[in-house]
Amino acid sequence: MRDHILVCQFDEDLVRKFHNQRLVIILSDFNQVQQAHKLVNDCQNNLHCLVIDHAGSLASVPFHEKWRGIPLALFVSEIGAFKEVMGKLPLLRDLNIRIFLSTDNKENCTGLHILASLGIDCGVSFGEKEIDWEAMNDLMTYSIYGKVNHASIEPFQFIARNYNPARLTDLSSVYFDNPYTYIHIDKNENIALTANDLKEGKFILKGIENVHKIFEDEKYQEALNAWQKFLLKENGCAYCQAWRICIGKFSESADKNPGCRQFFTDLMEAADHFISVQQKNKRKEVWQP
Amino acid sequence: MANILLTQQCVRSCPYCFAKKHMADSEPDDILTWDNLIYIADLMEHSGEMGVSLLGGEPTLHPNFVDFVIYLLERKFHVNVFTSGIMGEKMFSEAERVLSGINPDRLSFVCNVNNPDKSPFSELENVRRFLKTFGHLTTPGFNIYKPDFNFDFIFQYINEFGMRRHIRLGLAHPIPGKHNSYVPIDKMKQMAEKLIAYLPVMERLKIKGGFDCGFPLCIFSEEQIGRLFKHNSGRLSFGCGPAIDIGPDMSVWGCFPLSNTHKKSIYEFDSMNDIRNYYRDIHHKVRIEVAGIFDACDDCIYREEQLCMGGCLAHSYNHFINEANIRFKEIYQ
Repeated sequence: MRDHILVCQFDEDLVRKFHNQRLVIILSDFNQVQQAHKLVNDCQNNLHCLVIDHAGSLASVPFHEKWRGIPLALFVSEIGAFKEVMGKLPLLRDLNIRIFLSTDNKENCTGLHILASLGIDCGVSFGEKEIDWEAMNDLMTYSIYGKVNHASIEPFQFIARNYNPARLTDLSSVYFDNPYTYIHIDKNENIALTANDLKEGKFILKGIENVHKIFEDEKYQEALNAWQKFLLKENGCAYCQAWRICIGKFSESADKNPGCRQFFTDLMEAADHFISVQQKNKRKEVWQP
Repeated sequence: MANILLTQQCVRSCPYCFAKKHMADSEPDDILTWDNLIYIADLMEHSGEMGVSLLGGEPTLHPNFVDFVIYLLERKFHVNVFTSGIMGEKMFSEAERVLSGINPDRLSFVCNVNNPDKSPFSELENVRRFLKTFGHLTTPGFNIYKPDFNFDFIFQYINEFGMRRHIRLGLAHPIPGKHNSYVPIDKMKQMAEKLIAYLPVMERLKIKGGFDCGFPLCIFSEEQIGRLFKHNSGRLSFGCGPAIDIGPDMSVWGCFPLSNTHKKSIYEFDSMNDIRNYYRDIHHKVRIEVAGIFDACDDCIYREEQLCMGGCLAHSYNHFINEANIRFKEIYQ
């Protein structure tokens, strides 16, 4: 069983306590990018990704040449002034970055379409407002079936790459929030299974030294199987064939905005298509000297 | 090269306009969306076509005009814009700031200019402002819609604004069943005479003239053909479409005068080639019924060898307007 990737806010003292650990660091400021990258490396840890949640537009982000090679997940409110973004495009293409745009802004589906078509890897950040599932479906169709080369759009590519009809595929991984892979820790070394649990104080362990023991923890196993409770409910999600990839994430809004069912069903179909294309294009592998 | 309509509104009302019918039938606020632009760009790239023409109506009326141009340039398309040169203050400033420095190998304009004597002063001022900034990227276009025409003013424009030394000569075509101004078939030779009369001055000024589609070969005498051949360094075309036009609503048709017939959705095709073949096939069928604009087109060896297409197909369609449905059914659609 492989170790978890730890997700934490940028705190120098906390990062110094880790050793040989894969880390996702959440930054509050663009000025921390190089500093956090250096610190993680100096402490002999492995930087999985730096996350920045920026309240402004992509156009307003002060991208820097020195960010080259640093894995970044950037959440922004919108694209903003297109011409500004175009001016930054050569650098953006060079960076190890994925841009996330929120569904709370209706224009963002188009924004993601534009970014992907220009070769910028990007992703949907599911917000709190009602999601336009039809627009989401169009975007997913472009992402998976598009004939012309374009950059990936998450979580569609993640689902397509990892989909297995025989098991669940949790798109939370794209957002560093799947307890199979990621666990969250604060500066007081409280450990939680999701970002939300950490925020709400629902800790399951305390202390960095206990991270590797998490697999033995009963609460952890319980949390991993929490999805089963959905199937006991008599609501629509229990009977939805797309359950395997949405895992009830939109169950609260499904009654009011039922488009999620069709969307995730189509996404599963797209994933099947993606897999079949990959298998068709698979080259014969000969032994290597 | 496919034509993408960004808007369906125009700032002018030219008497010869062969898009008039299409514009009148369209919703004026119907403009191309980002998502549709990307779809078209993908289809073109997938088809190996990396040149695109943007037109309208007036394409610069689209609020995202400049963004669309830089997007397409970023996608490695060569962009050609058909414009009147008339644009609002804000759009002009934005275009000047962003587009005026683009390499002429990547971006070009065709500015269809009308005779200044017959244009309002404000329109002329706008055109001059456009040419002052974009002249080096711009080829003047002139549409001939009557046998007696005058484009002397274009020579002045070319010299004053450093425009490309090439005039794109268009021949206005009829919209089947509608009224617009165009050169009647029996006056075409007269029009050709007038055109040839311009050759000495054009040669003196080192300005070339290139034909847009629909000029029939036989309106020129053997001697005139020889002069045109030399004038254009052997590059002469007497072709007729199909030019592929794509509307903001993703409808597609085989050139403007025929926008009323055989309109399809772009989603019905897998490539630009499929679209072109579809309209080529229809054009071919129509030409079997009516070979060209003259009776002599029927057994013309030059038409058979495709040196000349027999003039604009819109003239041929005019034959079918008032007849009973006796030919293949698609012709009346």
